[in-house]
Amino acid sequence: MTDVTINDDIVEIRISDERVDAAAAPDLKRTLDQAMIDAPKKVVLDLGTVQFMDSTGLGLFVSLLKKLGPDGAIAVARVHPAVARLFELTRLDTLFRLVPDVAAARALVRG
Amino acid sequence: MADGHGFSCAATLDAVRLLAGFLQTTLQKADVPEAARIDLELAVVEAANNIVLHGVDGRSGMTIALSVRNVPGGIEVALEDAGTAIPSHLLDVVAQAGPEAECGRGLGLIAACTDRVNYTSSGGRNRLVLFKALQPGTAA
Repeated sequence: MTDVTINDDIVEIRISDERVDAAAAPDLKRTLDQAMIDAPKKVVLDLGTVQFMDSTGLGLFVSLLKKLGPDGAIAVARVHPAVARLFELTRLDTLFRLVPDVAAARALVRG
Repeated sequence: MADGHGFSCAATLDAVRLLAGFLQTTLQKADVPEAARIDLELAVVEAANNIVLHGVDGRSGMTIALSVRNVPGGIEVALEDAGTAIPSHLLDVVAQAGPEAECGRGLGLIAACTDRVNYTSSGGRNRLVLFKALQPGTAA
């Protein structure tokens, strides 16, 4: 399950599933695509419940980042060690900004 | 875990979760450190996803067999299937996907998460063996 909330200039996406993997990807992609129609370009991604992510799941967030364009910003909050490891191994921790909590993520995308 | 543990499931993306669950339970019982468990789960899931998406490619009745065992210096995990084999040229040079790539990271992650990878295909069976080194005294 994915909750999407728009607070002023920020889209907050909270994923409540424990696994963001190839099995979950089709439904999550549809949800993200729908949520981002006419949405702000600043995104907070709350992964506090996600215990595991594979490269298919990661690909969805790369796609999201690309759709935001040069004016967009995305911060990822509350990342489990297994998920952080995936960002690290793929070196995408340099592209996505990982922060400890949602408040820090909001501050980060607002610049 | 000296004699090893095995598990088999349908070659579907939903069943890959069962495979991952079995792996985690087995590794936890063997007191394998969390960092190694994280790497092995990611490697196995990426490998199993590849089997489902590229090896089996929609054919029904196919299975994936997983075995886990202690070997000198670490843990060995093997996956077997009867799908289309991975083309050898993809294994010879595992390319690193660019930062904007939305797919194509699987083989690179398998290599990055493990210390040795061996892949064989003969008689219609494919066997991927992953070795993860462990510090002495860190696994039962």
